[in-house]
Amino acid sequence: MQRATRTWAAIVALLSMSWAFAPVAGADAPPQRLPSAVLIFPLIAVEGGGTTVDTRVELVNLSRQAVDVKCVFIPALSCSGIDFHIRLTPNQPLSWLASKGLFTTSLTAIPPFFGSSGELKCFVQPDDGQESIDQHNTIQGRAAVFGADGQTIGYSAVGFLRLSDGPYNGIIPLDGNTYAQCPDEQHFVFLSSEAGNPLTESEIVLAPCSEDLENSIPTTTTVQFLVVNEFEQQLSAATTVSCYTRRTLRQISQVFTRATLGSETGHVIVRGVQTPVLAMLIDRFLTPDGARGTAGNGPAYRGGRSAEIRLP
Amino acid sequence: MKRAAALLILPALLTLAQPSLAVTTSGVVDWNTVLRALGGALDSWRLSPFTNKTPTVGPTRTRTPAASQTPTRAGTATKTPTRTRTGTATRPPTSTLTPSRTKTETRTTTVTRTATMTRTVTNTSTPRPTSTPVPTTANDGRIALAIADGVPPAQNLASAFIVLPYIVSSATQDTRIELMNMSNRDIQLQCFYVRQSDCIEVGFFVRLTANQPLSWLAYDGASNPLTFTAVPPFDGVGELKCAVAAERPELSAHNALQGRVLVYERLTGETVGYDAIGFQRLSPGSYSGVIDLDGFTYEQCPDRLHFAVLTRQTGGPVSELITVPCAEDLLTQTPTQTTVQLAIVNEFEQVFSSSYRFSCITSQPFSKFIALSKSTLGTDTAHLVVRGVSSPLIGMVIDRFSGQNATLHTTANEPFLEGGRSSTVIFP
Repeated sequence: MQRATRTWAAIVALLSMSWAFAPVAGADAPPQRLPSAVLIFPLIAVEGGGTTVDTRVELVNLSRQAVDVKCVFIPALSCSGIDFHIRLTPNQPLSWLASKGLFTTSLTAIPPFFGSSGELKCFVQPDDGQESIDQHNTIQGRAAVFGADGQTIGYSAVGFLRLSDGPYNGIIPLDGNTYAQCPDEQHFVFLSSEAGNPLTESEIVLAPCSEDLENSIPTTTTVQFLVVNEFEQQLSAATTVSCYTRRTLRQISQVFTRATLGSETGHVIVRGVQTPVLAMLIDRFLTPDGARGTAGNGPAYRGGRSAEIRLP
Repeated sequence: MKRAAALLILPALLTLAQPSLAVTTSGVVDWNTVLRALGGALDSWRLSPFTNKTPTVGPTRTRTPAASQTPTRAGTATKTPTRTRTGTATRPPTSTLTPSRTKTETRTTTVTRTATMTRTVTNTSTPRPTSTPVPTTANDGRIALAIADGVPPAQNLASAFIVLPYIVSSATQDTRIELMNMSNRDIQLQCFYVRQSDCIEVGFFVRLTANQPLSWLAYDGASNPLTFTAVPPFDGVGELKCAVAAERPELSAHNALQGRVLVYERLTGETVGYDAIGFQRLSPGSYSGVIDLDGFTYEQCPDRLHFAVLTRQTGGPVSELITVPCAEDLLTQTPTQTTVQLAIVNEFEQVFSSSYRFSCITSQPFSKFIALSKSTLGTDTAHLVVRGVSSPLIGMVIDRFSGQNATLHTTANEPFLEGGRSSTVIFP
C-alpha cells in the first residue's frame, strides 16, 4: 500500500513539474521599457527609518498630457495596501525617498513607507471621457535601493501596457486583452554563491502577479525553479510564496551554490504554478580584490499568463 | 553576346507586336509598357544561365552570397558601380541574389519595403546606411519632445541581436559579461567588441548549447575548445554587439538570446549592472551579417531614449551619459558620427536643451551639461530625452549619488524607449 502511494506521489510530482515548465503557446510576455499603464516596483526597502537602507523611487510622465496615478505600497509584513495619489504634469519627472514621502502643494501626497521590504504598484487613472490607450500608456519608473554599507540596487519598474480603450475601475485584468499579461517564465543569469560567504549570496524577490487588496486576501503560490549550469545540466528547486518574499538563493536550495552547480554562472527559469509571479534578483559578488559588489538583476521574459489585481 | 542581346530585345519586340499591350486605343505607343517589358527582359537576362558572360558581372560575382550583398548595405562607391545603386533598380538585384528575399511576397508588397527604399536613397547621400537627416524639431519647436513615429524594440524578450553599450576592461575596472541561450537548441553567436579610443573592432564567435548560460571577465577573455568558443580579452572602454547567426530561417532560431553585464571597480566594488538592449528578428530568413534594424527584418532602433535622472549637486558625484550609435559599419570600419540633442525637463515642466557631437561611442559626464545641475534646474530629478540626429542611438546613464553618511552609490539607469527609426549594422 505504501509503495503504491509513493508511486502515485512520484507520478503527481512529475506531472506537476512537467506542467510547471510546459511551454505556453500563443501568449505574450509584456514588452518592457515602453510608456505603460501599470507599473510594479518589486523591491522597496526602508530600514532604520532610512538611515540604514532607503529607496529613491522615480516616476516619469512620458506623455504630453497631465496624468493621475494611483499607487499602492504593500509591505511584506502586513500584506495590506497603503494607497495614495500622484498627479504628474506633462513630461514631469518625480522622485522621492521612501523613508520620507513627499508632500507638495499640488495634488500629490505620498506617505512615508515603513516595514523592511515591500512592493509598490502604480496605475494610471485617465480622466472621464479620455480613456483611449494613449491616455493610459504614459508612465515609467525606476527605483534605487541604497544602504549605508554602500550597496546599491537599481532597477526599472515592470511595466504593463493597456491594450484596449476603457476606464480605470480598480480591477486590473492582466489578461492580454485589457492589459498585457503577466510573464509566464522569467529567465535570469545568476552568479552562483560560494559556500560560507554571505557576501556572495544573491537574493531573489518574489511576488504573485494576482493580488486581491479589496478583500485583503494574500495570494499564495508554489514557485518552481529550473536551473541550468554551463554544462547544460539541469537541476530544479521549489518554494512557496504568500504575498511577498525576499530570500537568498541558498535559502531556497543548494542548487544555487557553486559546489552543487559546478559553474560560476547559472541560468534559472522561474515560474509560478497556481498564479504567475514577478521576480527580481539582487546580484551579490566579490571582486577579485575582495570588494563587495551589488546590482539589481531584472529578468528576461517568455510567454504570458493571465492574472488580476483588485484594488479597494 | 549575341544570344544575350537577343534575350534582351525579344520580349520588347513581342510587346510592341501586340497592340493590346503596348499601344493604347488612341493609337499612341505606351512607353511605360515598353519600358516594363525591357525591364522584364533585363531581369530574365540577369537570371539567365549566361551571367558569367555579361559585362556587369564584375569581381563581386565570384564572391560569396554574403559578400555580394555589400553593394546595398555598404553603399560605398568603392564596392560597386554607382549605376547599381540608383533608385529602385538597386533592390531587385539584391533580391535576385538571395532567393529567400525574392520568394517572400511580403518583401515586395508591404509598405515597409517602400520605407526601406527610402532608406537606401538616403544612403547614397551619406556613407552611413542609416543616416537620415530628419529634422529634429517638433511642430511646437521643442527638440525631441514631439510624438515619435515607429515602434521601439520590445525589451526583456529573447532576441536575435543584442547591444551591450558599456564594457570596461582596465587595471582598476573589469566587466563580467553574461549571455544566456533561452532556446532549447544550440545557437551560434557572432560578436564584435568596438573600442572607444580608436573605434577598432575585434570579432569572435560563441557557441551556446541549449539553455546554456555563459559568463566571462572582459579582462581575461574565455576559451572553450569543446564548443569552439574563444573570446579575446578586451581592452579599454567599449561596446559589445552580438547577433544570433541562426543556422535555420525560422524566427525561433533567431530569437534566442539575452544578456547582461556587471561593470565593477576592483578595489571599491562600485558596480554598474544592466541588461542588454535586445532586438528581435521579425521575419524568417538566413543570417547574412547585415542586421537591418528596419522594423521588417529586425526591430527598429529606438528613436528617443528617456531617462529619469538625478540632477548634479554642487560638489557631489557626477553621473555619466553613455551613447553609442545604432548604425555601425564594421565592414568598411567607418565610424558613425552624429549630433545628439538633449531635452531636459524639470519637475516644474520647464524645458532646457543641450547637445553634443560624437563618433563611435562616447561617455559624457553630467558636469558638461549646465542644464543637468540642480542649481539650474531647481529640482532633484530631471526627465532627460536623448535623440541622435543623423543616426538613432542606444545608451544608458550611470547614476552616481550620495547616500547615508555621504556614501557614494552607483547604479545603471536604463532608458525608456519611444518611437523607432531604421538603421543597419554591418558585420564583416
